[in-house]
Amino acid sequence: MNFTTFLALMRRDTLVAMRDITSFLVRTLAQPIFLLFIFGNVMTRMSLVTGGFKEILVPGVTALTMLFAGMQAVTLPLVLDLGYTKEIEDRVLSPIGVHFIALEKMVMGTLHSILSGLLVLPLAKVMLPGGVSLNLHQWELTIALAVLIGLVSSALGLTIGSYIRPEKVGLMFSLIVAPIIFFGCTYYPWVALYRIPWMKKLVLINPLVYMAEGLRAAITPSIPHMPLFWILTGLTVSLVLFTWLGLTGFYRRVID
Amino acid sequence: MPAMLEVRNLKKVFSINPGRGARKSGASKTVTAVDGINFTVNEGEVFGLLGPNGAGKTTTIGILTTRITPTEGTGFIAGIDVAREPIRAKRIIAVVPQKMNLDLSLKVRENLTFHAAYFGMAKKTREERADEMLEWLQLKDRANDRIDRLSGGMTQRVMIARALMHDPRILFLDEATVGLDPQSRLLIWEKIKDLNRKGLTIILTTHHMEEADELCQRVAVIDHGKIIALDTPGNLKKMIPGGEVIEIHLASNNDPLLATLNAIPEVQRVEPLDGMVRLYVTPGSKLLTRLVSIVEDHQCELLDVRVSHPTLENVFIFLTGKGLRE
Repeated sequence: MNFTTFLALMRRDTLVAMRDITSFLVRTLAQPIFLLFIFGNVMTRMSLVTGGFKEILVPGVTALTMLFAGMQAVTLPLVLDLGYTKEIEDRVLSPIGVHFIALEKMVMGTLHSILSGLLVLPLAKVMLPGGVSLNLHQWELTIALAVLIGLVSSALGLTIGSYIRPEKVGLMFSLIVAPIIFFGCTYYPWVALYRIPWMKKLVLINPLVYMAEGLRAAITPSIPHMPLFWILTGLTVSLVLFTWLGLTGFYRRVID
Repeated sequence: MPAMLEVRNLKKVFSINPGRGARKSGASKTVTAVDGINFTVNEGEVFGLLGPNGAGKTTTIGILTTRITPTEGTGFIAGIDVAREPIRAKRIIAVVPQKMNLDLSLKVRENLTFHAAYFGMAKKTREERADEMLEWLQLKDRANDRIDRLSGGMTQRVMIARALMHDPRILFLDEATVGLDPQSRLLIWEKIKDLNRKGLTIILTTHHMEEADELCQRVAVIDHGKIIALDTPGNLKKMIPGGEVIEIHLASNNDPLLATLNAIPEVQRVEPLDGMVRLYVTPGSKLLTRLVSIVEDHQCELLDVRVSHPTLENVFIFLTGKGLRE
C-alpha cells in the first residue's frame, strides 16, 4: 500500500469533515439526546421504567449512535463521490490500489463512530436523573469493542453507499435502518428475549445486537448479557462480510 | 522517437444490464465499444482520436487510464502494462475527463494541492506548483473560490491544472473543449500547444475536426470501435479525390459553360448546384485566372469565387458516408 497517498486521502476527508462539523454534531447527537431524554429521563421520572433501565439503555443508545455515525460518515459522502459527477475519480486515479480508497473511507468512518461514542457517554451521565453507573475498569475490552463497532458500522456504510443509488437513499433508511434499530436490542437486553424465542434467534442477523450487547458486557457488566465469545464472533463475522461486500461493490462502481 | 503509448489489439465488450424479464429468460445483451484497435503514439506527439459520439473514444481513454478493464489486449504507457500494473501507470498519466469531476467539497486551489498530495508531493513543492499552474491558466484570482462558482471554461482549466500537478509524462484530454465558448476554446488550444512544445505527450479525443486539425500531429479516425484511418491531418485530406475545391458563384447557370469546365483536364469533377458550380480539382493547378476568363467568355456574371481545401469532416464523410455530428 502507498501510505503517503492513504494519509493524504485521510487529510482530505478530515478537512471536509471539519468544514461540516456542525452538521456532524447535529446528525450524531440529536437522536441520542431525544432517546436519552424520553426513555431515560421522562419515563424514569414517570416511574414507567425502573431505575435499572438506564444501565440497559445507555449501552444500547451508545451502540446505536456509534453505528449511525460510522455508517453515515461513509455512506453520505460516498453517494456524492459515486454520483453523477464521479468526484471520486481523481482519487481513483491517484497511485494507490482502488481497494485502499474504500478502506480509507472505513478508517474515517471508524474514527467518526468512536468519536460519537465518546460524546454520548458523558451526555448520558449528565442527562439521566441520578446519573448512570458505568464500569470503566475493563478499558482494554471497551477500546477493542469500540474499534470493532466502528469498523463494522463503516463497513456497513460502505456496503450501502456502494450498492444503493442516490435516489434510493430515503428508501434505504426506512427499509434497512428502521429494522436495525428496533430489532437491535437497543432498548432491551438480548437475554430477556427468552420469552419470545423466535425473535431471540432472528435478531442474531442484526449487527447492532452484538454492538449493544458488547457495550453492555464492557460498561454495564452487571446487566445480564450475551457471552463475550458470541459478541466477538458476531462482530467479526459482520466485519468480514460487510467489508467484503463493500469493497466488491465499491470496486464495481469505480472500475468498469 | 521512442513509443510513449502502444495500444495492442484493444477490445472492450460491455454487457448491458438487462431488464428483469430479460434476466429471467437468460437473455443478455452485449455492446462492443472498442473492437480490436492498434496504434502507437510517439514521445512528444499530439495524437488525436477523431470520431462521432459513441465511436469508442472515451472507452479507449478509460482503458488507457486504468478506469476500465479491457476485455482483450492492453495498452503500454512508457512500457508499463496499464491492465497489469495500474498503480505504476497512474503515476505517469494525467486525465482531463469529458465530464466535470472536480472535488466539490474542496476549493479551487485545494483541488490542485490535494491532487499533488495524493501523488506524494511535498507540501512546499505542491504549494509552489499550484501557484504556478493557477497563474499559467489565468485562475489566480479564483484560487479560493468554490468549484460551483466557476464558469465552464474555468472548470475545464482547473481540471487541466489539476491533471498537470504531478508532472505527468502523458496527458489524456477527453473532449476537452466540448461546450466551451470560442474564446475559452482558443485559450485551451494555446495551452495544449504550449505543453506540447515543452515535450509533453498528449492524446486527445474530439469530434471537432478543426480541433484535431489544429492541434494533432497524427489523427486516428475511429468509428464503431475500429480505427478506419490513421495518418497526419494533411495526408488524411489527400484521401479526398481531387484534393482541392473551387466554388464559382454565378448569377445564372449556363450549360455550355459546364461543358467547357468539364473539358479542363485538371478538373476531376463538376458539380452544378443552385447558383453555383463546385469543381473538384487537382491541387496546385493554378486554375483561377483561367476560370475567370472562361466564365467571362460565356457572358456569365461572376459573383464570387472561393477556393477551399478538404477538411477532416470531408474525410470522415468520405470514409464512413456520414457526418461527425450525426
